[in-house]
Amino acid sequence: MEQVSAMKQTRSEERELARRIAAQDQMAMNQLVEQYGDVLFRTSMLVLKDVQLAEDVVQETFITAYRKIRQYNGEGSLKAWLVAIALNHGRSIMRRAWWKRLTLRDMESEQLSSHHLNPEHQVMDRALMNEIYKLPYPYREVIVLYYYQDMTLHEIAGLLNEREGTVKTRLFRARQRLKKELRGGEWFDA
Amino acid sequence: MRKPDGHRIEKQKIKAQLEQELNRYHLSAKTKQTILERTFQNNQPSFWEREITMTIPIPVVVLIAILFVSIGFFVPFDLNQEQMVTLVQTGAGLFNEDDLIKWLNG
Repeated sequence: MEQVSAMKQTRSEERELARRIAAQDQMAMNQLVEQYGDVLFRTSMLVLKDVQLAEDVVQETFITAYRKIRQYNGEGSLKAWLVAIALNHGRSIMRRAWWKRLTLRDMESEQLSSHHLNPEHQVMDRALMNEIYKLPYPYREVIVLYYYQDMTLHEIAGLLNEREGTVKTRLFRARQRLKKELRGGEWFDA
Repeated sequence: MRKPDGHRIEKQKIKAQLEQELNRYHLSAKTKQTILERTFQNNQPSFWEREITMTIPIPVVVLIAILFVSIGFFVPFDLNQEQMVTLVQTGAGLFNEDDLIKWLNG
C-alpha cells in the first residue's frame, strides 16, 4: 500500500517536472540532467561499450526529451521514457558507427580503462561488465534492462517493441552465457 | 504467477554488482553543460513539435497517402467536358479549334 502511494507521488513529481520543462524552465531541465544523467550514461555505456558514444547518446537523449517532453504522458516512469529514447539513439548510432567498431575495437577497453580512478581494481571490479560486453548487442540490451534497469519482461517487450517470448528467450540465452563464463568466479545464486 | 524468491535475490545481487562496478562512471560536468547549452540555445521546439503531440501510426499515413493519390488520379477524369478545348496545330501556330472556326467563317 505504501509502495503504491510512493509510486503515485513519484509519478506526480515526474509529471510536474515534465510540465516545467515543457514551459522551458531551465532549472527543471538542469534537474532532469542531474537526476538521470548518470544512469543514462551508465546504461548507454553498458549497451554501446564505448564511453564517447555513450556521452553522445546521453546528449541526444536529453535534447530529444526536451523537444518532445509533451509526448510524455506520465503513465510510465520518466526514467523508462528516457531509457527508451536513449536505446533508440544507441541503435541508430550503432548502425552509423559499424565501420568505427571494426577499426576501433581494440581502443574500447582502453577508453573504458581511462575512466577508472583505481587502475589496480580494473580487472576484479569489472568482471560482470566485461562479460556483458562480450554478449551480442540484443542480449546486452535485455540483460541491462532486466538487471540494471530492474524492468520486467513485459516492460522490456514494450520498450523494445518485441514479443515478450522473444525477450524471455534472449534473456535466458544471455543469462546462460554469463553463468557459463562467470562460473569460474561466482554466479549470483541465491 | 509470482517468481520464486531465488530468482528475485539473484536479480538483486546482479543489480548490486553492476551498480558497484558502474558507480565510478559519471557523466562529465562538461557534457552536462553542453546539454544545457544545446537545449536552450538552438533547440527550441518548433511550432509542430510544440502543438502536435499526437503520434500517427504508419498504416494511417499510408492510407492518407493512398487517398491523396486516388483523388489526384480521378480529378482529371471529372472535368467539365463543356469547358474543354481542342487545339489545332497549323502552319501559323497552335490555335483553339473553336476560335479558328469562328475566324475562318468570318
